Amino acid sequence: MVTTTTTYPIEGVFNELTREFRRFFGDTLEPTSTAVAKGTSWPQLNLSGNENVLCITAEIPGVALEDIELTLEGRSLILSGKRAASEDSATTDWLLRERGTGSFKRNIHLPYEVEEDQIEASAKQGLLEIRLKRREASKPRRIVING
Amino acid sequence: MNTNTTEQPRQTEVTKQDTVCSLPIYRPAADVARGENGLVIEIDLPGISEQQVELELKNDQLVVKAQPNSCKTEADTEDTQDSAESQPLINLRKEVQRRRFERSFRLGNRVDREAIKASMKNGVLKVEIPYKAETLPRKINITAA
Repeated sequence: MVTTTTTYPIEGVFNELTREFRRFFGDTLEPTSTAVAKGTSWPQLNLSGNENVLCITAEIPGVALEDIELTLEGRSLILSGKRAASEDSATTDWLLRERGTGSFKRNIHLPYEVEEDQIEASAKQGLLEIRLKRREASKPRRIVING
Repeated sequence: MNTNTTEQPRQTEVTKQDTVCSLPIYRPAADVARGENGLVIEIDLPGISEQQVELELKNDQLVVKAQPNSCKTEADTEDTQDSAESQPLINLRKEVQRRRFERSFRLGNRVDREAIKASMKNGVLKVEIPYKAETLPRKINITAA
């Protein structure tokens, strides 16, 4: 299996950020339906960022725009929704069924607080892209020491 | 119709790489439904548009191939670059990588090859494969002899 990891140590504040982030990220809610293979979460997502901006890309093929819900709760971004079955599942004769339908929910812990009204999210071709900006007040600031 | 069986691993699995394009090839998840008039195949191809999909009928195999525009893997492009940002973006969590998709399905004799239709919406490729009209079930009248 080919693995690609492009993480590397970065000096300064961001080191703390990535460590904390990874520690918290293990806490994702398991989706509540068959849209998930055992042991993995759906939808799968990638997260990248720097000290000012976070970018999330989630793969949600087959999910209609009106079925996606994105909520910001403090430092948690909750992505939830449902993927509807296109055929009438009860009466259809399925020869193969791998995709799965049902509801999903993922709880993404963010490394810092973000500005609620500056979140950009767009869904296209089954890909959801979210861009979040850090809240000004949460940025680190230098404290002057009086001598 | 003889298709890949469900005992094979779910959704994504790297099967091979070649020298032309360095992106790994994944087998996309698919649903196959059989109705009275034909088959419907739906395949998850996230991030792919219609222009990037190649759908071919070879003998009795329906072959689906899809790849994003650029063949560069993440290793080649390093981290995702954000043009508006002075600082480069670092990958904090990567659950899915850039990849291309390939999968084939074997169709039986009942299929009307000329009438196959395909459409794409929200990253899902839907292929409708009708049966030949003469193969559809029909009632046979019995006359009193």
